[in-house]
Amino acid sequence: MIIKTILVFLPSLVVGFLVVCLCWARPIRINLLFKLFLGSGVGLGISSCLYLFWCLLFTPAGQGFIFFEAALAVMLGFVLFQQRRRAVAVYQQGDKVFQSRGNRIILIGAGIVFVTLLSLLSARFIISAFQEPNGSHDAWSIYNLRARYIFRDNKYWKDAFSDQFEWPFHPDYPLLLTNNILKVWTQFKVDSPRVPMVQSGFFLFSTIGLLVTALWRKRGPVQAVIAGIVLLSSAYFFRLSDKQIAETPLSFYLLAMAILIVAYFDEEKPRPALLSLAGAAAGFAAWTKNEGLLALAVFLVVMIIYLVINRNWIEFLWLAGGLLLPLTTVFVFKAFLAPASEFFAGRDFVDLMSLLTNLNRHQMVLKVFAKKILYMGETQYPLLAILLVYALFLGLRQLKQFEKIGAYLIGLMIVLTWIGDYITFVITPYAIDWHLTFASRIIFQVYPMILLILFWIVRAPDDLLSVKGTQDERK
Amino acid sequence: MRKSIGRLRVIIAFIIIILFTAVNGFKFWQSLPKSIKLDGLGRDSIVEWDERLDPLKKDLPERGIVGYVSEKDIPGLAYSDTDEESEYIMTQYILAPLIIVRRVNTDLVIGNFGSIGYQEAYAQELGLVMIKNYGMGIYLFKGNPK
Repeated sequence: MIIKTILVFLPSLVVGFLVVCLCWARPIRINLLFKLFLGSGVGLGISSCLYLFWCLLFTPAGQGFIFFEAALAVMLGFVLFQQRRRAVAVYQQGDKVFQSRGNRIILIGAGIVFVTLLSLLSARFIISAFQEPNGSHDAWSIYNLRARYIFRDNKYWKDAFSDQFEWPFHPDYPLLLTNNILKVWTQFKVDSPRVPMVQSGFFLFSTIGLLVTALWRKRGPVQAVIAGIVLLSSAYFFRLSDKQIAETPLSFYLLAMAILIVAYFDEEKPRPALLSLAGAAAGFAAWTKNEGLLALAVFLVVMIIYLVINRNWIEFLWLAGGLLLPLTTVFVFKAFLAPASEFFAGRDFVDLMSLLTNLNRHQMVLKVFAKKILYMGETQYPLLAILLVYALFLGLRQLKQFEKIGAYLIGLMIVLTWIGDYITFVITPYAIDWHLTFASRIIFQVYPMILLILFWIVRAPDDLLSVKGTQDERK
Repeated sequence: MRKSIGRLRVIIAFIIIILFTAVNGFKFWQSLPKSIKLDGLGRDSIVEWDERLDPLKKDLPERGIVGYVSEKDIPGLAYSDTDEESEYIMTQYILAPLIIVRRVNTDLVIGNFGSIGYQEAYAQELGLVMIKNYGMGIYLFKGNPK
C-alpha cells in the first residue's frame, strides 16, 4: 500500500516540480534537489486545491482525478520544454568551497552528524508509523476523520462539514491534508492508514530537505548541513511530524514562502515568478490549517505594503497570480462548505474588546508566550538565546542592500505572526488555561523559518576559515 | 592573528552547536529503545477501540446522528478528562459517517461506561432505555428525542 500511495501521489509531485521549474527559469539540473523538495509541497498543495473543485464538479466518488493530474503534468512538461528551448542558461561558477583542509574536515564531520541524525530520525519515523498507524488525536478528530467521512459517504459528502459536529472535530478546518488522503483512498477504494502516514513522511523529509538545499545553494554545504543538524536535533520537531497532524506541513509552507522571498530579494534583478510561488506557498499554508490564515494575512500585509510603497505593480500582479488558486479554494470552502468557525461564532465586537482589554488575560498569555518562545521546542534551556550566542560568535555576514530587504521582511513576518498568535490566545473562546497548552506548537510553526534566516545572515564557518571569494553561485 | 581568532570563534561556535545537538537530542534518543514495542506492532488506540465497538456497528444506521454518553454525563462520577475525550473522538472516527453527538435527544445513544461499570440508575438519570450490552463498557440505548 505504501508503494501504491507514493505512485498515486507521483503526478502531484511531478506537477509541483514542473511548476517550480517554470518559475525558476534556470536549467532544471541546477539545484535539482531543492526544486524536488519545494515541488513536492507545491504539488501536494496544488493537487489538494484542484481536488476540492473536482469534488464539487464530479463528487468524490470519481476516480479520474489521477488521470487529470497526469494530463496536467504532461501539459506543464510541454510548456517547460518550450520555455527551455528559448531560455539562455545562466551559470556562474565562483570559487570552490573546499579549498582548505579545514573546510573539508568541517564538512565531513558535520556531514557524518547530519547523516547519523537523519538515519535515526528516519528509523524513528518508520517505527512510529507502524506503532501508531492512525496517528494521533488531531488526525482522528480533524484531518483523517474528514477524509474518512467523505470516503464512506461520498453521496452526502458535504455533510462532512455539518455544524452538527461538536467542536473538537473542527468541521471548518481547511482541507489540504484531508483532500490528499481522500483522493488516494478513493483511487484504491480503501481507507488505509498508510496514506496519511506517507503524506506525513513527505512533509517531514521535504521540510528538512528544503531547509538544507535552500541554504546549500546560496550559503554553501557547511552552513546548510549545520542548519540541518540543528533542525534534526529538535525532538519536538520530530514529535510533531509523525502524528499525521498539520504542524509540519504548515511549517513547510511557511519555510517555502520565506525561502522564495529571500530568493526574490537575493539578486539585483529579482525574478517576479518567485513572488508568485511565495504567494502560492502562503496560500497553501492557509489551506493547511486555520493558523495558516493568520500567516497568509501577515504575508499579504507585509508584501503588499512593500510593493505598493515601491510601486512594483507588475510584481503585485505576479503575487496575486500565485495566490489565485489557493485563495479561491479557501474562499469557496469557507463560503460554501464549512460552517462558521466556533472561534468567532456568536461573538461580537464588544465581546472581543472586553477580552482584549482584560489585563489579566494579557498577563497570563504573555507569561506563557515569553517562556515558550525562549524555550522554543519545549527545551530545558533557552534555545533562541543559544542560537543567538552561536550567531554572535560567528558574526553576521555583509548583506547586500537587496538581501537585507528579504531578511527584514521575513523577520517582520515572524514577529507579526507571533503577535497575531498572541492576540488569538487573548481572545480565545475556549478555557484559556487549556488553550495555552497548545502555545508551544503554535509558536514552533515558524522554527524552520527562524533557522533559515539565522543561517542566511550568519557567517558560515568556512567564511571565517580563510575561504576567499563567493560560494558556488549555481542558480 | 586574525586567522587564529577566526578559527577560535569557529571552534567555540561548533562546541555550542555540538552541545546543543547533544543535549537537545539526548533525552529523545535515549527514550527510543523504550518506546519501541514490537509486540502489538500496528495495534494502536484506534485499532483497539475499533475492536471494542465492532459488535455495536451492525445495530447502528448507516448514516445520521447518534448520541453519546459516558461517565462525564453522570453527576458525581469520577473520570479522566483525557481518556474521556479521546474515547469520544475515537468513537466518532471509527463510526464515521455517523455524526456522534454528546446528547441524548437522538433516536439511539451509545453508552461508554468502561471505567466505572454501568448501573441501571445511569440510564434513569439520563432518561434512556437500554437496548443492548456489548461488553467492555459499551452499551446502546434508546434515546429521548424530545
